[in-house]
Amino acid sequence: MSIFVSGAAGGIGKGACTVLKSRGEHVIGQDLVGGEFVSPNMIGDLRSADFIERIERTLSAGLQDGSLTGVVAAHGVSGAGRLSEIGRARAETIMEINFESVVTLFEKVRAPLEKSGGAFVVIVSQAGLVGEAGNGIYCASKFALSGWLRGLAKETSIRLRAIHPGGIRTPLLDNALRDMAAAQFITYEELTAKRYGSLPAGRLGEPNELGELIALALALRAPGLVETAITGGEVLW
Amino acid sequence: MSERLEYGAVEIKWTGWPKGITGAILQATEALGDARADTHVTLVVDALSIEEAHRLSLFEALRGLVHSSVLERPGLRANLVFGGSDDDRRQFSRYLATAPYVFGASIDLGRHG
Repeated sequence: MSIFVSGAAGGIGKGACTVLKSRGEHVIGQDLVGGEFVSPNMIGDLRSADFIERIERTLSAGLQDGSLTGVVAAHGVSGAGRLSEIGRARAETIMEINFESVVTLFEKVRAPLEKSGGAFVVIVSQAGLVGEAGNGIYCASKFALSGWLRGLAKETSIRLRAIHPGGIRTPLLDNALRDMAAAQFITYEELTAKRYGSLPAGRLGEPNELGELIALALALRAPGLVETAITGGEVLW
Repeated sequence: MSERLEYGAVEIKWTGWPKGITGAILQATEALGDARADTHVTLVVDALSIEEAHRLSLFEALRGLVHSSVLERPGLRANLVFGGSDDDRRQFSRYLATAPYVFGASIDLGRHG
């Protein structure tokens, strides 16, 4: 029984691996760079056709007891910037990484997951539920995932899970907040005070807290799409 | 200018799955990014005979962009009219042109033209 986790070197992906490993799961981590949970042959870019084929071969052939029971798509890139300034190349990159590569990954793991009755967990975002000023392309990439998963649920037996995190303390969030502050012509400190100062939770979330929810999402037997948010109360959904 | 492009409408072209999602966002970003803050822009998408997952993905992607654009640029009145018949799209676009309180609205008029 194996679980594949993309974006496993840091942030949310690493949080997921930490929790899953602590529960005795066999985890195959992937990322652009190496890390504690990244398998040596799983270092590469999910936008690369050659690399994604390698993932498909590995997951089809080399799994512990031959069964892939879960996939967690936790990779992504921040993408803040005003629509008038972000530029076509940057916008395209954000869409390719946050949206297209998740769709491609799903197609490559679809057969083994359907065979095992497994789960496909996508770390979407609260930015896939509500729009954000200075973060339009990122929101578009995440809304696209939400819509796709809702439609996909009607055509696959794979248990689909969409998790919408809000402020989780990761390098990606920090980068996004700095860019969003610049796009809104305010300082990073002003933005974080405005956004998180009055959160019902009173703080940012930690990657391992999200990891607990990811592990639960994998375990839930409910068929179809299950969506849930973990936002500290910033977005009520 | 075709009738469809009246009332500040920008027609978004679908170019296929999954790249067409990115393509639609790039088209919409250009239109919304170039718009003056005090203007009204309606993104318009034809009814598409495509898989429902792909159709919903396109609708949601554009909806997220429209939401973000009105939050980002106070005064820009951006909306989305999606799918349905030519006549329904035209009627809703005409309504939006005369509805100054409607900001960031998205309507899915269905998968059939």
